[in-house]
This record gives sequence, C-alpha cells and structure tokens, in this order.
Amino acid sequence: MGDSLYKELLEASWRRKLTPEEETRLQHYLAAHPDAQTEWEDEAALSFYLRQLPDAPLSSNFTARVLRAVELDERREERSTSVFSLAWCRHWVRRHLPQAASALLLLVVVVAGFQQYRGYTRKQVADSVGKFYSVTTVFPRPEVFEDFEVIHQLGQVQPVSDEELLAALQ
Amino acid sequence: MDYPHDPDAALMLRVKQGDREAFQALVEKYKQPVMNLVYRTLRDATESEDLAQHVFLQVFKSAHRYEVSAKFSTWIFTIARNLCLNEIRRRSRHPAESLDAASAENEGQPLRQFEDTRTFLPPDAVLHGELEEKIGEALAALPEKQRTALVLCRQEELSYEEIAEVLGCSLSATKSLIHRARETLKQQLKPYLRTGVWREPPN
Repeated sequence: MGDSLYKELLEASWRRKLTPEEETRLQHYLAAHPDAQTEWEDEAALSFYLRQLPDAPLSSNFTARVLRAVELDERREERSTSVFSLAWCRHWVRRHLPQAASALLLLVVVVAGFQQYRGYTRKQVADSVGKFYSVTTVFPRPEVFEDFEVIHQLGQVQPVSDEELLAALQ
Repeated sequence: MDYPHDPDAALMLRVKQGDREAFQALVEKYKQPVMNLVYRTLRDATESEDLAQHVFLQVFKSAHRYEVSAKFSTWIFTIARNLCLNEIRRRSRHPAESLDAASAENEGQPLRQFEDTRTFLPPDAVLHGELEEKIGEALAALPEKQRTALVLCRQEELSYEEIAEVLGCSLSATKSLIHRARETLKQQLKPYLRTGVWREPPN
C-alpha cells in the first residue's frame, strides 16, 4: 500500500471513524511502515478528542425562541412597511408640493383651453353645415337638369354667318 | 450541481411556500451543529445563542429567494460563518458592546433555559474537563479559516468539497487548512495525546 492510500485513510479519519476494512488496510500499512506508527497514534488521539468535544451549550427552548423571533420580525416588517408608506407619502407631499401645484395649474389651463378649442371647432362645423344647407336649397331640383347635356351642346355650336343663313333660307 | 435528493433542501422549499413546520424541523436538526460552529468562533454561550438565532432568522427571511443550488447544510453553514465574521468585525470596532444590547426586541421573548451539565462531574472526568478546556483554548487560538474548517470537519455529513464551498476556497486549500490546524493542535496538546486515554472507550 502506497503513501497516497495512507494519506487517503488519514483524511478519512479526520472526518469519521474508519470502517473495519479501512482499519485492516491501515494495520497492514503500519506493519510495513513502523516509523508512521507514532504519527498515526497522535492523529488518532487528536481525532478521538475532537470527536469527544462536547456540544456547545444550547438552551432547551431555543427552537421556541427562534420561532418567536421569526414571528416578531414578521410583525415588525408589516408595521415598518405601513409606517414607511405613510411617511413616504408625507415626505413626498412636503418636498414636491410647489411642483405638484404648478403641474395642477398647468393641467387646469390645458384642459380649459382644450374645452374652449373644442367648443370653437364645434361652432365652426355647425356654421359650415348651415351654410351648406342654405346653398343646397338655392339649387333647382334635379329634374331641371334633365336636358342639361343638350343645352350644353347648344352652347358649343359655332355661330353661323348671316350670309349662310340667308342662303339657307332662300 | 443539482441536489434533488437533499431532504433538507426539500424542507427549505416547503419553508419557501410558508410552511412553518418545515422550518421548525430544520431548526431542530441544525440548531446544535450551527451552535457548535458559532460557539467555537465566539466562545460565549449567550452571544453564540443569539447569533445562532440570527442565523435561523436569516434562513427564514431568505427563504423566498432560496434556490436549490447547493446542499442546504452548505448554505446554512455559509450563513453562520458570514454572521460570525460580521460579529468578529463588529467586536473589533466596538469591543465593549454585546449582541444582547444590539437586539432590544428580544425583551418579549422567553428567557434562555440552559441545562447545567457541569455541576456534578465524576472524578474521572476531571482529566477530560481539563483537556476539553485546553482543546477549546487551542481551537480559539487558531486562525478563523483553520478553526472553521476543523469544526465543520466534525460534521460527518459535510464532505471536504462542501466544507471548501462554505469556506470559499479550493478542495486542496481546505485540506491544507485542516492539516495545518491539526498540526498546531498536536503541538499544543502533545502531553495529552501521549497519555493513551483516548484508547479507552468513552463512558
């Protein structure tokens, strides 16, 4: 068995007790390498004492205290959230009041202007519709334009000279 | 790395859904290992318990963003170690203040109920008691990383890889830390190691 395997067993012994199989392998190694015996004994003794080290003292109601602390923390969190939002609102109002007032005034002016513009355009549209209606009542009825094309053609006939008319009459 | 078969991670996922019983189960399982780590670092039972309590509070508060990216034990020991380091830093800045003073909200909580385990030690335990003290002192004198590596090494469920993850260093560096810590302890405890008492089965 090589030194690497001894190192492997040593590292295993730092964390836990060796298994019977590992113990056997170790004994074989130590039999072949008696110089490693003292080192191994020191390591084994230290591992033993570290394992024997008692647990840290812990109060019997530790779990209850933790659960209570969690509960308190949740309540505090809820409280601080609501207090924070209220405080935040106050702070915001105090800090931004002039800007908010200016913005509100501007908004009122814009809305009033828009309303006025809308009223004006409505009036204009109503006027236009009225004018259009009055124009349409002046026009004759559609039957009047029945012979429009014939009359229009007459207007395009070239004037005939007097001599030609006379000749035609004779 | 995925840890689908880590039962503690499964419990933590239940905590994430708001399951208080799962949280209580985790506290029951990890209170002693966490307390051991914190106590070996701070060396004060009362302050250690307060800090251990903070560890679990932190676990609960972080539950909503918990993802199973590592073993739960690795995660909780990392939290415990970080809080210990913060406390050590805080102590170095304000040496006189205790953790109790910093947490006035604990007033409404039930008082600690420590079991008195040291009052009636049998005579054959005296040597062990003395040795315990020596080991405690030697551990306390170690650099923080070496001490944490050694204490976590006692947690059989943690592999070297997981200890390395808690410490934030490589596997070889972790083994080297443990080796150096053990060498220091062997030097300091030499007279006790050679007595052969360790060969006796524990009472």
